Amino acid sequence: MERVLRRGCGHPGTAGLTPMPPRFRRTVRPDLLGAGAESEVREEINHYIDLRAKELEAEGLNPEDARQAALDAFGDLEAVASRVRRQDRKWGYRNGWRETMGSIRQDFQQAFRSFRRNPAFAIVASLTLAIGIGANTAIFSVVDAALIRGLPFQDSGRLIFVNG
Amino acid sequence: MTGSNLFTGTLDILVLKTLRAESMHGYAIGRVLREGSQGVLSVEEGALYPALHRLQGRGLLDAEWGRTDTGRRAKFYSLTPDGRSHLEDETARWNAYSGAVAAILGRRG
Repeated sequence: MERVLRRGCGHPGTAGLTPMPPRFRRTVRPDLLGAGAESEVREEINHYIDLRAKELEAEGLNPEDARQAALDAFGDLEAVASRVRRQDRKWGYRNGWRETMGSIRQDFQQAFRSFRRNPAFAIVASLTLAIGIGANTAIFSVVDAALIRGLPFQDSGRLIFVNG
Repeated sequence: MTGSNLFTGTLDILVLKTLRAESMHGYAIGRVLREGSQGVLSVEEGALYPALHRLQGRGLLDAEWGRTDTGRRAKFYSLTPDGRSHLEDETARWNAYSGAVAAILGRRG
């Protein structure tokens, strides 16, 4: 408890739980790799603490006291987080699908928006994919015809090459 | 915080009731409960989150990540049809229960 609280007030702007570096928070989606519940619980709790601290600040506390008071009222962060995780594990099989679909939809929306904001990037990205796929297909066609498929004769494995 | 502790299961009903009209994220639910009870019901604020995840797991709440007015990512909870009927059942049960206790406590002699 002590340790958690001190960690919390040492970094104004973040709650007591260590957040992921902001740059990676939305770029890397660990939840699709299975570790997501972890960071999402953290994100949810941090959100609460941040808003609660802001509320207390509006009531006249200075920022540091406000954050501390928010943390105190919340209770033991690690204990709460681990109780939440226990619930998630217990019921996980029901939640996973819906939430994953929701996240994927959000990712697509975000991708679409960023393409609209930056069409040049969208064009370069699609060209890269198109050329990559095209080149692969072309080379595979050649390799397939020349090396993989048999020659168009019956029992082509028995053909021999006579040189002389 | 001072005040009496919540009876077991009460937090669940209060959360469901709070979400009856619209979906909210955890902080907003907590604020409604705090302001609505005027400090009489005390609950360690963090206790809200295990309750939310439990209710979601039981299929009484749905949760979806969305954006707040300020553009921050947040998990929004809403009532499922099951949650709505559970709320109605539990409200009726609670009224019957508290009515019975009040009737006995209010008796003279």
